[in-house]
Amino acid sequence: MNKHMRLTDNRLITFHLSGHDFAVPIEVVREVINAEKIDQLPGGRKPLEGLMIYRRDQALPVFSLTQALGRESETPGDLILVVELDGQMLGFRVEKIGRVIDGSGNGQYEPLEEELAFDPETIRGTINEKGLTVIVLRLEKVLGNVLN
Amino acid sequence: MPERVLLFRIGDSFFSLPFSNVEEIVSTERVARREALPDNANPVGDNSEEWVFTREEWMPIGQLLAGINASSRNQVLMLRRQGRTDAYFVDQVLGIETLPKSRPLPEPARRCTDYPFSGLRIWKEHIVLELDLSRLI
Repeated sequence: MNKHMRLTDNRLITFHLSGHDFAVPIEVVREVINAEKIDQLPGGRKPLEGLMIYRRDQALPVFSLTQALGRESETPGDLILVVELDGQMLGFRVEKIGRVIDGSGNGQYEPLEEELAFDPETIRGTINEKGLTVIVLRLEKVLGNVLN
Repeated sequence: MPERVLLFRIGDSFFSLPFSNVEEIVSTERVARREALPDNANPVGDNSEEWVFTREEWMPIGQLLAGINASSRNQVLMLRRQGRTDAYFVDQVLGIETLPKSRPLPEPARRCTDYPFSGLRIWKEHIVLELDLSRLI
């Protein structure tokens, strides 16, 4: 077996959005691209922001992560994190990409502080990364309504 | 297989329809408000504010997609399906083109709208939404 092969990739990629640092599993991330023109889908409901031309001939649905997390605020950011969930490509806007961190944490995530007021179903827990509290998302729960 | 479609714009959104369903594209010179209709127009049973004169009769002009208003309303599409013809305002007819078959709307996006889109295409750096006439008319 290739000694570099990973059977389970526990790495997370962090990003900053709306005053918080979040992380998602790197294994669902396909790429990070600049946010181009996002066309609103007529009749589109939150948390869908719209559709963006992707790879010249595809349409990428772009979602507002803050709205998916139950916040009303508009999502800032000029970057789109493109992920693949349940075989579907979709993107969401982020302000800044952070770094790749080890998410195995020996299975130990800190519980979410209540004052953050996120739906606990959507949060795996938090990791203290060099003094920053990183909220680890369950993307499949955050965007569950549009995936199932 | 390529399809012949009518391309048009309403507001900031681009749409397409099978050209076979387009009966006529009418200029707004033939549009009149209800109160200005001639006596013989007989607009009974329809509360539409605006009507278009085509093929020797006045027809009410409807809204193609509820909640999406054509702002400049430069043209009226006469759309035919299953023997019925309806009139709709659009902002701009962009052309008639033969384009590759539309591809399905991405499933996560489709779940976020109840509007009758049967697919989409990329055309000249625009996302063009194909309307499903069977759900419109």
